[in-house]
Amino acid sequence: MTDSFLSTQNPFITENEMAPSGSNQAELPVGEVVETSLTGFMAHTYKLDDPPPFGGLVRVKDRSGTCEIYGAVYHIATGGIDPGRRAATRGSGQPVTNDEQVYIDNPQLSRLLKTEFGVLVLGCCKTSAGSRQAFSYVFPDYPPPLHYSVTLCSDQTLIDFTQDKSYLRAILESSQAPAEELVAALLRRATRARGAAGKAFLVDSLRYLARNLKQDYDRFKIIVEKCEGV
Amino acid sequence: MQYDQNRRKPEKFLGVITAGSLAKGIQARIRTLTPLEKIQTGQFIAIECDGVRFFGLLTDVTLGATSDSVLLDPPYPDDSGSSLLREVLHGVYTYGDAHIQPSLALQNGEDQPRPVRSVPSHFAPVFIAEESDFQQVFGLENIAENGHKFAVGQPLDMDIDVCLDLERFVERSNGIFGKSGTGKSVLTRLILSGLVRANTCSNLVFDMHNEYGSVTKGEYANQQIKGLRDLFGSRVMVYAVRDRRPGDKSRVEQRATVADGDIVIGMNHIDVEDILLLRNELQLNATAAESAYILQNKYGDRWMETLLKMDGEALKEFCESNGANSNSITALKRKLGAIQRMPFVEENHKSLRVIDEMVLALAAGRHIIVQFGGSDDLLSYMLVANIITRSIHKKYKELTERYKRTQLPQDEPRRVMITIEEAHKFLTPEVAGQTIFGTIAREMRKYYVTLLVVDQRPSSIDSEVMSQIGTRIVALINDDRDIDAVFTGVSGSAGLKTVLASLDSRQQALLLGHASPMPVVIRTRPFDEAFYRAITSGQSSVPAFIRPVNPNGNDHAGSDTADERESFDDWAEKQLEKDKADLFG
Repeated sequence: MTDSFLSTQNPFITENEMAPSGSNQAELPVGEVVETSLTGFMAHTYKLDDPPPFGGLVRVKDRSGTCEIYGAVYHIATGGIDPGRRAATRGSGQPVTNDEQVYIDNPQLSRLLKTEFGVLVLGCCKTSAGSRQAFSYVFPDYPPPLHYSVTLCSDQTLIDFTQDKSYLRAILESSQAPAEELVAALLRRATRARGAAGKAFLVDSLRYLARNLKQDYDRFKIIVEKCEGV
Repeated sequence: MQYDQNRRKPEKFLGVITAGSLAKGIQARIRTLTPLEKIQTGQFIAIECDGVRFFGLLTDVTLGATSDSVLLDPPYPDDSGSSLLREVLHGVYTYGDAHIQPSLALQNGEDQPRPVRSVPSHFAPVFIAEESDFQQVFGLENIAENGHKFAVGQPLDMDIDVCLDLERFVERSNGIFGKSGTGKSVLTRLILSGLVRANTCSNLVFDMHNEYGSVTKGEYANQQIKGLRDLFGSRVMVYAVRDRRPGDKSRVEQRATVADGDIVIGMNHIDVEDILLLRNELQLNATAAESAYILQNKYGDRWMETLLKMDGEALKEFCESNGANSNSITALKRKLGAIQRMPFVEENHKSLRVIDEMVLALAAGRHIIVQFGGSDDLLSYMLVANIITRSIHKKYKELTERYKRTQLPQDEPRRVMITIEEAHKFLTPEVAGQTIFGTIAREMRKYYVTLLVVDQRPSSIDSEVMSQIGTRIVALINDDRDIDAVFTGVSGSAGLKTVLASLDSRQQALLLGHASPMPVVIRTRPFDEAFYRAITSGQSSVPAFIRPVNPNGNDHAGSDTADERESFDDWAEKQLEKDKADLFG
């Protein structure tokens, strides 16, 4: 499966690991919360350049352990650990056959650089004895705690979470995220996760959006165009 | 909303009420997923409210958009992603509004819906009506069980009967309208069949084109349409206007079936009023009426005969002595020559015995079709129809007055419905005030006589008459004036006009008025073998109508004397009793 729309492809992991491929996909932690608030949080990946994809659905447990906080990845960036030190060129300027060679030649880079991603909180879900209750598309009582692990959700969770369309409104209202792009990315992921039933889901979701964007046809049209051809 | 969700199929859901008024009709936003193309005007609608169920007719669908920017920059077919955009815009940015004319409301716990006096509240769910709604509103056909619900057709998109209440139908004058070729004759034949079978009234049909009595050829090759006589036997009597004079071998007999009697009219039975009705056909000018009245005052019922026998001298003399205009009288004489030449007109004919016989048969519950055979020109038709109707009018007035005096149930006259084709000729504003048909349409309901007006040009009918018409059955009409005329006296007609204009040109009709609980569009019931079986099943046979033996052996009532008239009345009395016993047990 190729993620043609993914802006951030990680060259270190194989396609199989990266792409969502069915409901039995294991949900593995992808990062750790390093900056938190009720509306969103930032996280660092465990491995350099191995973030969850843009528009991916992630979750974090809260401190009580009975509530999972869900959000969508809206920002991914890689830079130096020290904010004062920017990355400088490492190559020679000669034509290269493999851009990855620079990481092999400079193994310290993986220590000096970090990948961070931002998550927009979209909802939460109470859990009891390991099983989820219904999703509620409201802010959690408390923000996700620092240093808690962030897990990329499986396709099935994505399908379940996007069943109700209320999450779309939270994205539209957010000021920090590129709302149109994020909505489109999330819809494309959720549509593909549904396979044959995806088209109906997409139309339904877009209609929900249309109702919320009645006064802003141009914005709505942009989103529809970005969802086209999933 | 508190209604039984299980009662309605989800695919019948149309939308929710958003706006409107009782006078102008209500609006419903059409549900997102119902394709607008699938929603046809003329559909029967049910609206479920708290405790009240409304029934109405879908009169129009309009397109709307929430934002002008959608319309300013619409998705064109060649834009990328336009199909998805179109799909998701539909129902949100772009939508359809259904316009509904509410007609009836059914309160919880009641059986019969009543005329609507309220509007459903906001967001009440709107449904395309289902079979049970039709049954609730229109009832089930029970004509084979001697009831008076008669299925006249089916709704456009369902296989369920729409019934007309024939009991109510005959209480008022009625109209069948439609352009030429839209199935007026079929509708008329259908309604007449129902009326004959249900026996709610006696019918007198002036059958200008010989369509209703016996087998006629249908519109398609080899299609044979049975006549009422074929279906109902001796309940239906066929009289024919004599189409050749006795002994005249030059004219070929044109009528197809043997009639129960020939109609012959004497000039002494032709009134000035009858002539005035023919004013346009005979091209009479305004003074002709005055001249004719002068003649009638002078010569009584022999005025016409006398006039036609006058020569130039006699005319001059008459004019001088009576102050009539000689030019006018001469013109009148010349023009009345056309009537004299009609094969069924005789100079002096003592009684209208055949017409009396018809009146009697009608009173006894039989149905009469008057065929015009070869004399199917408008002139003969109008003349005969007017004269016969006048006699019936007179007779029924007497009967009703007797009933009013005695108040005996057996004296109550039997209702008669007179079917006239080309009705606008009889009911134009100029003549409707004077002709007998105008009188019947306006007030004869009290005298147990009503009209079934069959016409293609309702705008030519006097609006006073149109406003009194109870039940209207309207096939396609395009002319705006005709459409306006059809809806004279109908409230909330604006929406119905759209429905009417969108009918198919064949086998579709809009039913509205007294006998139909609410306006509804139907596919006309086909007049075929299945119908013949349904309409005749359970019908008891009626013995033939026995007319008195004429001692002279003359079949035409040409030579009976006053003495015979006495005996005829006696006979008639007995015959009436016998017929009533036969028909009503």
